Amino acid sequence: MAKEKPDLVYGTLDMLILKALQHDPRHGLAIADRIQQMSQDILRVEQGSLYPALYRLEAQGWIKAEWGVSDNNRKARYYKLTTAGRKQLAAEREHWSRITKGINLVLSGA
Amino acid sequence: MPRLHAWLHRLLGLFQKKSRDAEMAEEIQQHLDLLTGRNIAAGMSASDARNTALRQFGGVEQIKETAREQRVWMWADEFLRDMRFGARMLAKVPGFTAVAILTLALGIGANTAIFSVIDSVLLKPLPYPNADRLVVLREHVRQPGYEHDQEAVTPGDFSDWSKRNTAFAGMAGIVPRSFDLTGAGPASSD
Repeated sequence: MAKEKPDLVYGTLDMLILKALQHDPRHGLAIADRIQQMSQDILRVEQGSLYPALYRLEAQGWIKAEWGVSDNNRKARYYKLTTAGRKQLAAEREHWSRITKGINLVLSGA
Repeated sequence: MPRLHAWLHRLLGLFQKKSRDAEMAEEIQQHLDLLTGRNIAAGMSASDARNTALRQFGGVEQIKETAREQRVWMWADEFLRDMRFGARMLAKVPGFTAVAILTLALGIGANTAIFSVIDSVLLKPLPYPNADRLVVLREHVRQPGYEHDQEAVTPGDFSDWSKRNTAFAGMAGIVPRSFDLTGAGPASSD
């Protein structure tokens, strides 16, 4: 499988995590899986870098963590999007689409 | 508000450092176990699966350190540690500590004493009602070569000023005198 550069554009990981949590609470590994799956394997989250990002988002109050039990009956810490997190996701999406639109305009310019 | 929220969260983390560290260690352990299980399911031996999981995860300790910074208010934590370290070092050299504390005490004491004097003499307003409306009037001699250009007011001038005054609510004269105080009878030495 051809691998893209693993490091995501700086600052986008937070947004992708928020998006991965949009519908269901997930634990760390499931968030990484979800991002990889949603991006059709183009994006791979470095597992380790997930946790500093998760704790940062938790500190901002955008996600909330709770201990739960995973599918195979193991204890796992589940992250859930808060209302503030939902607002943040919308804001970051809006910002991202403006930025990419700008970059695309530059790249496709004659 | 996310700023304030993050600040409070990290401040709280200062007091829950141990439990948060343990929680993080457990969470990362669960993650590694899940990865290992997945690798075994993919056909790896137990030890291979474990090593691969560690590699997939990245430097565990380094990540813990970075992650901790997001959860605990690091500089305050370091500040507390520095304070404790400083206190221990000072306790080790009591002579130096005593001299340092004495120097500080004298310095602060002298400063406070001098400031109290300056404050009462120069800075505090005079203890009269409407002290900001109180002025001193003097006579000013405009003769070239005249040395003492600020002179006492003569009684005649004072009486003229008082009669024709329109600028001030009232005027009073003072005469400075110096004299010696003794008890009743002539001074004597014991």
